[in-house]
Amino acid sequence: MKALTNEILQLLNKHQEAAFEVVFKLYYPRLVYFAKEFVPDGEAKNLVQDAFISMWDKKPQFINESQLQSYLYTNVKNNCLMFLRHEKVKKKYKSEAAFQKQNQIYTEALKGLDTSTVTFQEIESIIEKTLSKLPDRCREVFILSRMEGKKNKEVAEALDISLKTVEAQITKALKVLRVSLKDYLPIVAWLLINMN
Amino acid sequence: MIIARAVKKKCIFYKGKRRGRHFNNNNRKMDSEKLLHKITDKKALKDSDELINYINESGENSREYIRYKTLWALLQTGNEMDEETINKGYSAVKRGLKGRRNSILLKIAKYAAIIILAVSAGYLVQYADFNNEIAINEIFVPKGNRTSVVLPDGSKVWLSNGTRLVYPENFVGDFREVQLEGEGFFDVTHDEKHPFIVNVGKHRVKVLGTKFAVVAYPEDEEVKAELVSGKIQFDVNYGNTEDDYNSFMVKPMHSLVYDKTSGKIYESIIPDGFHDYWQKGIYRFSNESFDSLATKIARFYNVEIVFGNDELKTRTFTGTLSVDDNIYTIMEVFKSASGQPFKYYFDTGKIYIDK
Repeated sequence: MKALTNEILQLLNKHQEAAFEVVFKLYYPRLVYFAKEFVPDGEAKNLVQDAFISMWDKKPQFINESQLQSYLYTNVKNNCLMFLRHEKVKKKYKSEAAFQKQNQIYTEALKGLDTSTVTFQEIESIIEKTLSKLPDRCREVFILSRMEGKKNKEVAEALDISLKTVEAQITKALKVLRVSLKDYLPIVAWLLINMN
Repeated sequence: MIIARAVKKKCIFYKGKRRGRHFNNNNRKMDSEKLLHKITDKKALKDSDELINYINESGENSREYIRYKTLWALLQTGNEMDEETINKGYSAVKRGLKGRRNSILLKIAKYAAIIILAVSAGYLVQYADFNNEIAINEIFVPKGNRTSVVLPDGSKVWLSNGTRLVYPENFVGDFREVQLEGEGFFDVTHDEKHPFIVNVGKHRVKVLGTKFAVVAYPEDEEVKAELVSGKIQFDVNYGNTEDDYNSFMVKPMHSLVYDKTSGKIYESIIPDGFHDYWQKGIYRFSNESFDSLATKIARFYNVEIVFGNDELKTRTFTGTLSVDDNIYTIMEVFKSASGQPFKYYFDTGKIYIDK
């Protein structure tokens, strides 16, 4: 995946709109899909847009990309939490058990997530190491899927294997990652970037 | 057609629908594999009774779900998103930067009743003026909002609907200068040696320690300065050059209005409702046209009014509007107050009025 150059980061710090646009286009998709795991689709986009607007207004200065990642993910996480709190109150009269349970679990998940800079920096190497130890096929599937963003069907076609196999390999990779990152979950957030 | 493949893990995967025996998924107990499948399938928790039951079984199950869910969320690359969606997102952000957006966060903050400039009432942006190296503040108050600002010299400004105020972080030099687009009520600290200047477009209001209001929306036909107490000088720029001002002194409790289209200046006494408007957000009107009122309603409540029939625009009303009012109540009041009936309906931030 593409990463930010130092130059872009510096221009962003200088509040240059063109740099802001580059950062937006790079991070918007992943942040939206992150948020979609916890809030409805339409809201996810709004919340992420708000995070960017807030970033522009507040003009934080970033030393490196990890700081920026941390800033954005923290912002989006907090917006999701605010939304979930708002939802909980709004729908209280309905008190549909499943809905409330989901709200509770998602809130707990987000609250337990530490999106600070340090963790962003440390986890990167752990993930890299973990993936290198996976069986070839498993790693292949996972990288095609997560890194290149191919849909499961596309991965199946590219590697000439069944869809179920693709899903199984992704599941396997996730299980291994979950173990190697156990010290950081749920107290940590990380993302796979700069894997090339 | 059935294709079976045996994989190292002893699990058997089937491609396509299996004819004959029915494979009942519910017989398979929930385990991590199934858990992960549901998560990677992006199934919402509330839509799966199986998942909920599993989570309710034990704290450990609950934690397991949370960890995988979180890990999955963080691994999202968003590569599925197409360019058009990304561009639409950016356009929305650009609109938001100009304060024209009514996000859910703004709504929540309003209920929280916290007057934090940058959140509940407007967008505060700070940028550096590279020539003088003084940080410049710009505060924008969206429609349907009001706020107040304290300037570096202790002067206080109340800003309302759709107003932009630009002021430096520190006043240096001979003048204290700010820029206003919209409307504001100023309570300026007295400092004869450093006159306070409010720039409104080409014109400006020069001040010596006073209480006054300036109304200068770029889209309006008038620019107005209303003086409560103290002394102000209204410099109107008729000409094409920057320094071509005609100066008018405004008397206390009087207002001076400059009509952009006719180029004429009018003086009148400040209307009774002046203080109520700035202090309490109550606007009093007397035989004011529906058209003129529509502009004000649009600013107070952040709605757009569309007239289906021009005759409606000329109807006049007398009464009061409060910024705390509910727009729905207001429309009903107008409807019952109107001598001749009219119809209206709401549709996505607009009010359509017709006969």
